[in-house]
Amino acid sequence: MAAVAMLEWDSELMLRVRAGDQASFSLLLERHRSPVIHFLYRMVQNQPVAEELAQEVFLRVYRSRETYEPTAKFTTWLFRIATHLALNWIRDNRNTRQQESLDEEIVDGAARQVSDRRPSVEQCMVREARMAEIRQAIESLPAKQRAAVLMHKYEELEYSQIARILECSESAVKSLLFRAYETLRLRLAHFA
Amino acid sequence: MKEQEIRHDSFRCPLQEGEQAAMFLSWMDGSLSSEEEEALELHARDCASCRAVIAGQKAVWSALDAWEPETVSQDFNRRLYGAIEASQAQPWWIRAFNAALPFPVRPAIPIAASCLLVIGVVLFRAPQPVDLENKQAGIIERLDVEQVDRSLDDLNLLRELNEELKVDSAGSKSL
Repeated sequence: MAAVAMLEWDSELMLRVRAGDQASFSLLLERHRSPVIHFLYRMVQNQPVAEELAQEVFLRVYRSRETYEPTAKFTTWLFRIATHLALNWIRDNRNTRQQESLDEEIVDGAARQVSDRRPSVEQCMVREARMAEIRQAIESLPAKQRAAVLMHKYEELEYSQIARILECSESAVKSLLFRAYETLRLRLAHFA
Repeated sequence: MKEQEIRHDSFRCPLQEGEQAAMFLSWMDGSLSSEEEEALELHARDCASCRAVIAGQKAVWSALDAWEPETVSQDFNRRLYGAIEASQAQPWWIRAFNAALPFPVRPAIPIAASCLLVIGVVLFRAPQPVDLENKQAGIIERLDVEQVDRSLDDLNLLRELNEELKVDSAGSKSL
């Protein structure tokens, strides 16, 4: 019930923005800024790029205020814009990312040698290595599977919402998610 | 206990029934009923495949939970409001185009749309009224000039031929 009220509140705020209320836009920004940036960060795995894309998301929200119609949940509309931008960025930067990930592996190898002399640093390095493994596991997923997992796990969006965002059926979303988790189970089994 | 055994016996392995996606996703979401969850756990005690899926998924959850996002820049809002101000200063037609398209589209799509629009305008443009009388008069005029030219040429040829004949007949007389 509270969630429904919240969703209605978002749409209400957006309708107020459409009517010219700048304060409502600030409220929407405060409520959704972190989830959008975190989602984009996990999608593109680069904080400055995630922030740039998030700027574009909120700019598009503001620019489209006059044509906004509350036909779907506000978060569905918001994450649809964010997902489209992230998927475009991933498609445009596929080659660059592959090059960067090769460089990161070399840096990791050099750093591990230093950590042997300091136990506390070693612990940090182990944690960092585990994080790198998680990031790589997520990055290895096809872009649509990645988006589906992140929206399901971290944003807790409903299947119907994810389906609208990715423009596919709910059963297709479930299939995407199951395959994605299957891949992750194989790659991250040793984290148990 | 007996009831539990019955439930356990009637429970079909989700991996063998081809409904693993629905069943395991419901388990992950916590949307299984307590009875279904209990039945799945009981089944997993005997089924190594399902046990592996459950353990693997718990490992994935714990790994993903550990992945914390980075902190957001302090000047994020300032930069955003600056970008909004800059976009407000754009020409009206760019603002109208942007307002109509909240979702990003690939450059090929607007280019193709523009091309279609131009083709459409050219094809379906209202036909201009044609002045048939003037058009026909122009054709007739052009035909007349050509005919006169041709006739004059013919006359010249006949005149030249006539003169040659005259010269020939005068020569034969003098002989």
